[in-house]
Amino acid sequence: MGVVSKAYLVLYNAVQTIGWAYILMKLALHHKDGYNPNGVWDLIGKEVILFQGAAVLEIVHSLIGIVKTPVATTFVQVFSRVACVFLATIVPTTQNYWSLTLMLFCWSITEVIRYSFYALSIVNMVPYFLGWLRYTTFYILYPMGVLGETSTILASIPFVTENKVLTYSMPNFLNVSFDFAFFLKFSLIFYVVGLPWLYMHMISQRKRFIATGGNTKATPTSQTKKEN
Amino acid sequence: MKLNIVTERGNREVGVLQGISGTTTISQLKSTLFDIKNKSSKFNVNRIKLSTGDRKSLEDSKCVNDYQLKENDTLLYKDLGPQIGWSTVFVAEYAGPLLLYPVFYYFAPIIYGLDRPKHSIQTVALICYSLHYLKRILETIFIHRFSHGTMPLRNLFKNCSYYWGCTIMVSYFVNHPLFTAPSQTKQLIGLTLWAVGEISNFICHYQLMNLRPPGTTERRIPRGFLFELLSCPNYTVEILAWLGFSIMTQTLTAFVFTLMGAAQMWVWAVGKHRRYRKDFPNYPKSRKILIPFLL
Ligand SMILES: NC(=O)c1ccc[n+]([C@@H]2O[C@H](COP(=O)([O-])OP(=O)(O)OC[C@H]3O[C@@H](n4cnc5c(N)ncnc54)[C@H](OP(=O)(O)O)[C@@H]3O)[C@@H](O)[C@H]2O)c1
Repeated sequence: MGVVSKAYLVLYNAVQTIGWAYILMKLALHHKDGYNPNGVWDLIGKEVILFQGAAVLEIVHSLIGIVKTPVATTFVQVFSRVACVFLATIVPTTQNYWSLTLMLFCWSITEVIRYSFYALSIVNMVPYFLGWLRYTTFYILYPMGVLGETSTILASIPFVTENKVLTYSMPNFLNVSFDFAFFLKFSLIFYVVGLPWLYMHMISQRKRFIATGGNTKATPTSQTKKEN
Repeated sequence: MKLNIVTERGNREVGVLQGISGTTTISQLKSTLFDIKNKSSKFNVNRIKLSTGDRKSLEDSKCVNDYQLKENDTLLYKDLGPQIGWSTVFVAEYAGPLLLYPVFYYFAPIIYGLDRPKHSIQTVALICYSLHYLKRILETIFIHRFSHGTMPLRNLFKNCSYYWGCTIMVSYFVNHPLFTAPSQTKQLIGLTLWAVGEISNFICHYQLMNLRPPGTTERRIPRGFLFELLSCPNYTVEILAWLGFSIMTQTLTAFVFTLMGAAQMWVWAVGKHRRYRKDFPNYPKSRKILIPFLL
């Protein structure tokens, strides 16, 4: 990897770490007197849109080859996240819903760990504890995150159906229609299939991490190993 | 002569093959290897892939001399995983469309919650779609002389999800009670294109059949009809047939299916064209890949 792309990747991951740490902090402060889902989106929606939106760059990183993660994998990861953010933006009924808070807590904790891990691994300075967090927290954070995302999707369906959000119906000259509510229900299948797959993948990554005593020579790519 | 076999990944020793001559075929090598391996595991000979340094699979019908293997050379071994019969996959992937497409036509009131009289072009589309896949199944069983016995089991899932999924996407919209039929001219143009495409496709497949004596895996230069112009005319006319189907139904998902098929066939056609040129020095220079006189 060239010096320029290395420097750029360190910078990108550092900025993302700070961004998500800021989101996590605001989220935590909002809950300092106990659980309170009201006003969460108003409070940090803009920041989430900004930093999750910026993650689209990761697809570009894969495309131009400065990280080795396959484009398809990155695309699926970023797309599902961006789709949830989009849903939260256009469907008011999700904005004060419990699952959105859960989802954003899981995301921000995961991302602070993940991005700081990437940033430091590029310069080979990952402390063991950070690596351990990266390969341990997923046990809880992944299922909780998926619970948050799927519940948010479910919560949005009545509003989407009622207001015909992004819905295009027949008859028309190309004989096509799009039913966003159906699309949302259908997407839940991918969570059911995807979570166990991702979970097993992370468990094997964890085994490797533990076996090598943290010296996995982790790069921003070690997040997904291409099966052949 | 003696050949060493090691694993493609990790270079672990698999075995040493002794007493090989220049005319020993790759498939004989595999059976010998199979006998060695089989003592320790439940391997199937079709799961074995052998290659040299470039990792390109050696063909079963070729022999040791064809690859200029020498005393003490090393071959790379890979277990391709569970296998399934080549034709089985085709029949399964085509049976789905044949069974699924009519469901939307016949059960429209239940599926869409609307009961409208069928437009004649919807009935024509049902017949065309079904005929196409019936033809493909019959060709797979009676016409094609494949050179492979098996393929990896996961192809079954991959191919079936593709064809079955696409069929649902196309059939759902073409048989929709709120379907809008295109003009009669478009219907006629589409249907003609479809019919010409299907008939030519069959002719091409018949020509390919006659290139290969039954029971062999021989490859020859195809001659006559569209093969004079193209390396893979069977793909060209298949695309034409689907374009015809899309025009006559004027349905977006049909166009998308046509486009995806065309992209896939283009990739394969480029490979086949290259292989013809490489394997046959006398391969006609003027032949194009998919589009006559152009590409
Ligand atoms: N709609 C879609 O998306 C789509 C996509 C792909 C294909 N198709 C349809 O499926 C059909 C078959 O596809 P395919 O990829 O299997 O076609 P193909 O590679 O052209 O093969 C057809 C048959 O001819 C044999 N053959 C090809 N070239 C030969 C040669 N030079 N000498 C002797 N035998 C030869 C093949 O044997 P081998 O076993 O040795 O190859 C095979 O049995 C296509 O023509 C098309 O109609 C549809």
